[in-house]
Amino acid sequence: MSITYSGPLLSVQDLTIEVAGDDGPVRLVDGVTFDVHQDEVFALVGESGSGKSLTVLAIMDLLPPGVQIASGRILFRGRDLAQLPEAEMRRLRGKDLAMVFQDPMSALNPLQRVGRQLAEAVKLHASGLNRKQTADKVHNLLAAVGVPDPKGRAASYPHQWSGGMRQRAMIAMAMAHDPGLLIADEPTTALDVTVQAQVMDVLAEARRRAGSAMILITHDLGLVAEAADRVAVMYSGRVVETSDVHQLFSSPAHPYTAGLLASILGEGTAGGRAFAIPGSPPAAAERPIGCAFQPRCHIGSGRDECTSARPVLTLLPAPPSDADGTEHSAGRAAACHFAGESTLHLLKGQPA
Amino acid sequence: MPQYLIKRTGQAVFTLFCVLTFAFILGRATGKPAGLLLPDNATPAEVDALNGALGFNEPLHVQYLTFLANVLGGDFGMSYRQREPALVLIAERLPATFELAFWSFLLGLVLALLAATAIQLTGSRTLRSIFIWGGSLRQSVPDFFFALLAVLLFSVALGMLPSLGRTSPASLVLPVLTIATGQFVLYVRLIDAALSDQAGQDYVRTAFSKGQSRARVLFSHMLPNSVLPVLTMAGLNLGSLLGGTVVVEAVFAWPGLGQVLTEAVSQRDFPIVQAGLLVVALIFVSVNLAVDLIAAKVDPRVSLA
Amino acid sequence: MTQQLLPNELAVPAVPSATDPQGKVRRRPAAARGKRRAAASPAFVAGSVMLGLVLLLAAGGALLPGYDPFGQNLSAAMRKPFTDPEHLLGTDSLGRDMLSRLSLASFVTLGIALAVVILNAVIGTGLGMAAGYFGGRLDSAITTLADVNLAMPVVLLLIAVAAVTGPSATLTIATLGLTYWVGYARVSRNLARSLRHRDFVLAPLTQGGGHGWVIRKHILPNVFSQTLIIAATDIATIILIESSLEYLGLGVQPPVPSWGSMIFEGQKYLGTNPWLAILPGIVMFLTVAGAQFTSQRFTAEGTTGALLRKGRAA
Repeated sequence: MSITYSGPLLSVQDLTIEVAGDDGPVRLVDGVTFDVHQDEVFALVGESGSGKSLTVLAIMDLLPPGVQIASGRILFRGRDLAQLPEAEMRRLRGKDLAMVFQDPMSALNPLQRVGRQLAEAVKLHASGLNRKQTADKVHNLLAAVGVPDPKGRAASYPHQWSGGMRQRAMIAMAMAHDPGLLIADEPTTALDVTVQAQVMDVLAEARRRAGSAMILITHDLGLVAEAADRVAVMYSGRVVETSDVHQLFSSPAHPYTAGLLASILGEGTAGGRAFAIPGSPPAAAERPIGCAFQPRCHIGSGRDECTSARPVLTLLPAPPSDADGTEHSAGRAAACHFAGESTLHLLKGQPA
Repeated sequence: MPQYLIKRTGQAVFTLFCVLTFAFILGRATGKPAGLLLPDNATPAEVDALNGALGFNEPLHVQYLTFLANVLGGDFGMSYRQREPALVLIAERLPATFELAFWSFLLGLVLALLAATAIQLTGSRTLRSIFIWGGSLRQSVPDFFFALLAVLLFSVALGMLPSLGRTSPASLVLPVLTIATGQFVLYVRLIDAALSDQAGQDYVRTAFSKGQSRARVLFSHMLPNSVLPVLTMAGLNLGSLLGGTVVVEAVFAWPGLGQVLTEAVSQRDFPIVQAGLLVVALIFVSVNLAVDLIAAKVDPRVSLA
Repeated sequence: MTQQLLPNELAVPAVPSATDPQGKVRRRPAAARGKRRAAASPAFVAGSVMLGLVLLLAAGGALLPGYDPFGQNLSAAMRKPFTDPEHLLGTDSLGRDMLSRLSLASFVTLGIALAVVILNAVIGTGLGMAAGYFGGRLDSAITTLADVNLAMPVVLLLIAVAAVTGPSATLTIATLGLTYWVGYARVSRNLARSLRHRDFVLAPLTQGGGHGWVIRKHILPNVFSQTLIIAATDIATIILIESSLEYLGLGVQPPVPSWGSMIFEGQKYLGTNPWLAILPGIVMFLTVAGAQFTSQRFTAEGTTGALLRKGRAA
């Protein structure tokens, strides 16, 4: 890229992903829009089935067969990935775009040494390296993610590594060429709690060093609070709120986000009942007309706009500064007809 | 790994032992052979004398031990009909059978690999259907009938290929074709299933995310990972292959092991059958053992368990 | 062997929906939907027809007038099919009626195959259940027996025994029956093992019921259906093996015909009257192919299976 490009690193615009169903195509992802900027950690949050994995798979053009992009654009450094031919995408994958998957055990070839799989990642985008150079690079990559005895470990097989170590190897593999965008799809979900923090540290360190932006997919809000700069919340294939992380937690604009936050067990809830949003998300083929969340929404019951018109993701005006003078940035958006009604307090039964 | 090696070798030896014992029992069940070897007007005394000379009058357990000792020393007895050691008669027929078995195995396997790879590379379900259904049809006829049809077409109708004997390289074509097509069917199903299994694995997606191409994923990852199940099956398949050559040899009058064995049956020449049985069992067991050990070595998860 | 069609995490609904994403209500006529599911595959239908024909031949041949599989008539020898109204499928080298011989041969071959399969199933299931249920040394012994069995080339074994006793149908049935039981044993052993510790098996034992009773009442019914499935797919294989043996002269002895022996006899006349060899082959093909096509309904065999795609399995 010789032209300097200013603007978001990644811009997903109105992305819709469909699969063939019994009665016509089913929209698994329905008009998703968000931007990811250089160097930022962008979290994509939602329950299973909300479409977050499919969205990022679409970015990498790794959608399973039968599932395809129906409309929308995926602009990466200004180029629409959805229109790129496979040969071009292959050049980007592993080099400018990289991905770390959820389960490192199944994501590695069980019958090949780990070092060899890393070497493959290295050689794919660095022609002209001889064996020794490749091996050295592999060992350096492993050392950089904190794997002890990289030479010895590289010669062993995945089943001989522990879960946390395997995920470090996956991270090393993804970062081999300092990608501009790293996508981490639930990178710690399959790991022990004690190991999760370590892996998140490794991830943070690696991307900082490479200057990569990261899309972090998770359903764990604690992780979001610790690691993310900005967040998009997805529900039933749609983005319902985008915000920077502080605002998300202090004053969520969308009732679903509020519900998620309320269900985190924390101080003040001990001795009482745990809160859970009543009901469950609709199946993709049975999304209601109007707002998808309406049936479970605590502020939307009985309101006509919520059942008849689908709310569009709209930029909200910046809220007034907090009492202590902290300014809030603009850039918050929510897809709700009544965004901003002080929902969090309502849920906790406290006065607005 | 050493433990597995010992265990498997022990099993193999035990199996051979069972076969030997079985052959012994069978041999003694034929009754004492002198009656068959001497002319009809031999006196009972002469029969008895010959039996004694051949060691058939000893107590059973002595005979058994003698038998074992002989076998280990390479003495598989003398043919009743021909004044030759049975082992020699068997051994001189082996090359012909090996030739048949080897080329058929190779051809069948290579074609199956090509077919299964083509299926994955093209991603064509139609191609797969063609191979699988075609295979079903081939498997619906026994080898000897397929051979017959081939002879009917290529020898009788077209006159292109010889239908009998082992006279020229051309005479190898029809027998090998017969067995190889049967082998092909077996292997293509197996390799296709193994590759499909690999195609559904997560690590395939990881390879793509690194920027790897379809062809390379197939050849660097999927095929090597598919070797194991194919190998195990190949070992098991050996038995039916050996059985298959016997029948095909009969169809084409191919001068191999099968032919000499079937002749021996009609002539009640038991030592030859016994020698054949033992030789084949030995080959069979050794190959199975080798396959198992190679498989254990190839799969890193097994070796280090 | 996995046969994934879509990754697990995609909850693509299989239930047809009443509303589409745009909210319009659409309903497919129920009749059309039902028809899609109930149609038998063409393979199954074809297979059933093929099998039906052969069974008809085997069972019904004797009922036709002029049934005479043994009568020789040298003046009417080597007639081709459909040339002689008295002999619909022609005659063989000795003037014997081909239709009658084919009918009897079918009956005989199928009968032998059935006997073998029953023997295999009984031995295999019995041994397998015992091994799986009782475990321990009995299990090891039976498993070793199975391994040894697998390691021996059966055709050669039969040849060896036939060299001693002389070939016969009984010998063939006995040998095949005693050597192909391992498949049944393996499946029933695994089933018995998994069922052994289930509550509905333990409960009657605690109440004083005997092992035999438990096996009969609880393990056997579960194993039985699996055994049937194996038998159905196995019978085709047994027919092929049996025919090969008969071709070599090791089965039922002449003058009783079998498919294999008829083909062997017919081979000599390939140049003059190929029908002698082809007709029994056709009948054999109909049987085995028919059995394969129909049994595909019950097994997972067929043309499913993943294909290599970027996002994972196809």
